[in-house]
Amino acid sequence: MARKYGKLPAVLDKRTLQMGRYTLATPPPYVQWNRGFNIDWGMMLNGPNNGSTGAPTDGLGDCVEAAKGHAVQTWTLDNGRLVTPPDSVVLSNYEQNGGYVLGDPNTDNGEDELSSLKAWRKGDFGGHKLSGFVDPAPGNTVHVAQSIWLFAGLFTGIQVPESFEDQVDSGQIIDVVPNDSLTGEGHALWLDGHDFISKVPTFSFKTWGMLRKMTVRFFLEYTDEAHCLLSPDWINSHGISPSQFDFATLNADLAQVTA
Amino acid sequence: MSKHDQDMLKAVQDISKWLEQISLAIQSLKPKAAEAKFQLQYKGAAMPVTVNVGATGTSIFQEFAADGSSIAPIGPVDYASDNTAVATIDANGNWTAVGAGTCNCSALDTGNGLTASDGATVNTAPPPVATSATFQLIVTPTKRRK
Repeated sequence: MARKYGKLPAVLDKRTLQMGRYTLATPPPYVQWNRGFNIDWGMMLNGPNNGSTGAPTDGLGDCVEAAKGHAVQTWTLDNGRLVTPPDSVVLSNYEQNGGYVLGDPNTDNGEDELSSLKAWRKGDFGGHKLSGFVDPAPGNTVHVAQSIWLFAGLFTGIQVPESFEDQVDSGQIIDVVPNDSLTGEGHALWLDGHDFISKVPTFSFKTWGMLRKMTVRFFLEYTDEAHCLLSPDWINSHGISPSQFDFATLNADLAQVTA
Repeated sequence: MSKHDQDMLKAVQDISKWLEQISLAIQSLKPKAAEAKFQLQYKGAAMPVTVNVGATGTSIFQEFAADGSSIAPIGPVDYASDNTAVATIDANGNWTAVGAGTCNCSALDTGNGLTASDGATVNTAPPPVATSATFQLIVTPTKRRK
């Protein structure tokens, strides 16, 4: 089944807060905020859809917006009521942040994660706010696990290898395939679980409405950006204590960044 | 269209609007589920702190309105275990402990998104217990003294 991608190359901004600056507790070796539900998590217009919004039925390159939708699902699922942002919210955000014009395929060009997250921080996503985001150090899987444990997930971007979509369809744990080449596409993924107990350590993620796992090796090989999202929905309801996260420093930093 | 026909059409449209409004009003009067509770059960009671590998049990998923009254789930209810190496749960909410460790089992009303979880801790399997035995009587003939 043909699906869409849409993540543009990673944009670096030296002002982005770095996780290494904060005191973080050691994460447990096993966390699954997706609760293991093998349900249809929603395509979010990033592939075949019923066209009810007027978007092309074969989908849009809006994976960055789709990943935001999956993030909202994780935060709300663990708060007692799963909320799936409607396609109309996904579409309007893609129009605002990606410059897409409904009916004009020439404007369906994807978007970069950093600009889109900055826009979310200033606005909202179907009523769901973003307080800010901090980036894990590249290749630091402890930071990744801390982000998943403390903040319910990690907003990532990968450079897509040829085997990726077939591996996703097969339902297998997605791994590095020898001699695999890159498609040239970028894809946004929402990670919401890690398993460092099993023989093969994995991260769980959602894409195209499916819950899948990737090996840590795959993550390290193909991830080109990652952002830990700070959602008031999550932080307030979980009462994350200062012993688990250095909020004093974070709030001071956020005040400077958003001033 | 004659004036009579126009009047009739307007009357029908008005009635349709009223019916729609009445329907919406009735729907708004129905209590909406505000909270869900989920409990893993073992031998008909709340699950103990730990169970052994091989234990099986059931679960209860309930929804409540804001006033505390019980409400039936709207959509199909999905069940899941977040660590199937520790416990599995089937489509009817029946669980099986399959390996040592901890996990959370959850239920989700796919109709309204309400969800709740309960944890499980599984011990390793206890030592095998004999369930049957064989007994052999050996009779050794002795020489009869004369």
